[in-house]
Amino acid sequence: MSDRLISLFADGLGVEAAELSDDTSPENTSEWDSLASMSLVSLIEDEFGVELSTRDIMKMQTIGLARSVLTTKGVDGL
Amino acid sequence: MAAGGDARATLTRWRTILRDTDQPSPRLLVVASYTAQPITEHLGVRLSETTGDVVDLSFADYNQVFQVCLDPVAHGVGDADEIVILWRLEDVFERDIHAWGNGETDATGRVVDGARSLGAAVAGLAAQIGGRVIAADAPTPIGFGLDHGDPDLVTRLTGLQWAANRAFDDGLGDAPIERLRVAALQHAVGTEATFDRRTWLMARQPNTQPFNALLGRSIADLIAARTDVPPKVIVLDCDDTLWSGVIADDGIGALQCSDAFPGFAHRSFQIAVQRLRHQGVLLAIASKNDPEPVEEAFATVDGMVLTADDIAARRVTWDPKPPGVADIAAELNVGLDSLVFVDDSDYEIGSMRTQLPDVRSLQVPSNLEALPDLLAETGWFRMMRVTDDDRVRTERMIAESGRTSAATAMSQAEFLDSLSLTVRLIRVGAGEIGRVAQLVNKTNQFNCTAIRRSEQEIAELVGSDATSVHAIAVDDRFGEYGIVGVVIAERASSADVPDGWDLDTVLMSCRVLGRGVESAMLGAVVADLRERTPGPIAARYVDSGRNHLVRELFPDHGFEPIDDDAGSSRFVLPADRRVEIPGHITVTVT
Repeated sequence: MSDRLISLFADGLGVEAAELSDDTSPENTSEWDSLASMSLVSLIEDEFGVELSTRDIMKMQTIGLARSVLTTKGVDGL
Repeated sequence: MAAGGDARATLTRWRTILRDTDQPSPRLLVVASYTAQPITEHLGVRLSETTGDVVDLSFADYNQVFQVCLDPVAHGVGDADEIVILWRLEDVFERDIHAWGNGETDATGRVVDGARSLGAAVAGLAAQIGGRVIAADAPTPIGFGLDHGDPDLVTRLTGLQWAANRAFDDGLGDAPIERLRVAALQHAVGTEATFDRRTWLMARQPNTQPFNALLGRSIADLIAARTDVPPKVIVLDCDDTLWSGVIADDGIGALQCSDAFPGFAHRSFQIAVQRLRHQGVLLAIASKNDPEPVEEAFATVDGMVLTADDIAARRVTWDPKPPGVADIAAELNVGLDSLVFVDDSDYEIGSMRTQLPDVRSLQVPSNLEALPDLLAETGWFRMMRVTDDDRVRTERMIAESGRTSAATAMSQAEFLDSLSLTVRLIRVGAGEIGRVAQLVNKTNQFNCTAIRRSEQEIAELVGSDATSVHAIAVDDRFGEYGIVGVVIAERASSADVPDGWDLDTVLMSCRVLGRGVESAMLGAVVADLRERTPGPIAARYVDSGRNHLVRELFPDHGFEPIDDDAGSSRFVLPADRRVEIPGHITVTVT
């Protein structure tokens, strides 16, 4: 559980962290449906103390892309 | 912790609870005018904490409140133990709310009448099914640029809201329906703070995460409170409960119960207790004292609200309290579980909880600011609760009058007729390709083959003679839904269907489910295809794992099965057979 973001997505999607990687996306993960996307928004905001806009959310098409959005928002250590 | 609690911990906790349960119960169905699924874990965890029940939660398709109420069996509502109705004016009466905003004079009347019909429909649902119904009221509309910083607008908007909610209540009538005051919750939080513009625009989820958490917990609390026997008697300690100070230590002259702190906290508590007495709760006192000074205190202490006449039974002695409280229950002829006991002493609360565990014991809080609301906070005395007596009486009334509520509510057919539903058939051109591609790639449930295509691919199909691309736009008295359905056909050339057409894609947005729109779409497309080339129409259903909703679509519309492999079925509509367009729908072609 060294990766906070993977661990958060695992909790948000209800899957094992080992099944997730930066390539994980709604296309290859059936749990990542539109409901999960919205719930991930508030989980990410709570966890990293950021605010996401619709533009940010639209960019987060994979865990890796979520990571780069958070990095540009100044979240360290991802 | 944030206002909504720790969302992540709650989600994880709920998954654990579900995993450890074989048979979740009760079955609770949420019928909401918006996407309400995010309340799930908050409702589930709270109910599990308060009652130990693990709820089996499901959600009706969004914005189908009228449809579910008027035809519950078709919507699978029949076997739910609990049904929760959540609705917003701007969802159910979208068009009329916008008309109201545009200053249309009769829009207010349409909204209010609509809300009354909705209430009657919910009452009809309660009369038809065995489960219990909880109906929310409508919160203040928000979004669509409504300026909640404009005092004039907010006054008019809340006026419309309250008129609609009163009409909704009228429509509910005497039906045994519990009320969930969502409007009050929204006001307590602040209208703006309940609204998440992002999730609203992206997923039709209007509520912020904390507000979803509050809603979920409030629904759970309503269900949990119902299993409590409503209290009939409050047994009150005197010293440091009804007043500040102890008679035996400080003397009557030192007791405080007036407008100065800490006496004011006790006086406020007495005002709350007296209000409950006027709602029918009996009051008793259990005090370790000599009887005479207690009587004197009631008569003489400055600021006392309660009088000796308010007290129905008293045990003022130096004996232990639990036997005295049991005596009070016997004297007033109520069960111990109808008693609430209030005392400031750790010892008395502890002895009551161990010796008379059925009595609900509440300790006077050491932070006195919590004392005035001590009883209200429990929720045990809420008047919104429908008591068992009320329920039995109401159920009898309904049975005797031959289902009055169902009679005042519209039938499904009357409702559909009242919709003024129009389906516009569109032969897709360049202007619609973007929206069609979006539907083709996003629609999961009502999608017979779930074939995905890019805008480029769809543009090629539109340009080809061998294929045909139709879309439908839908409009009714509640709103304009835009393009919500797509049918793609190619000229048939297979061995079993050598001429006519082959439907390759049939899909529809679930926003317009439950109104016969799919029948109108198939009927109109079939007729239009045959104008170009008459003949049979082939179609297929391919199981995508998420589209079971449409497994029977073709057989339900007169198509005959010709081939049935695992996960894929082919059908054909013979050349001489049409698909009927429902009488309540007007079809236009552009």
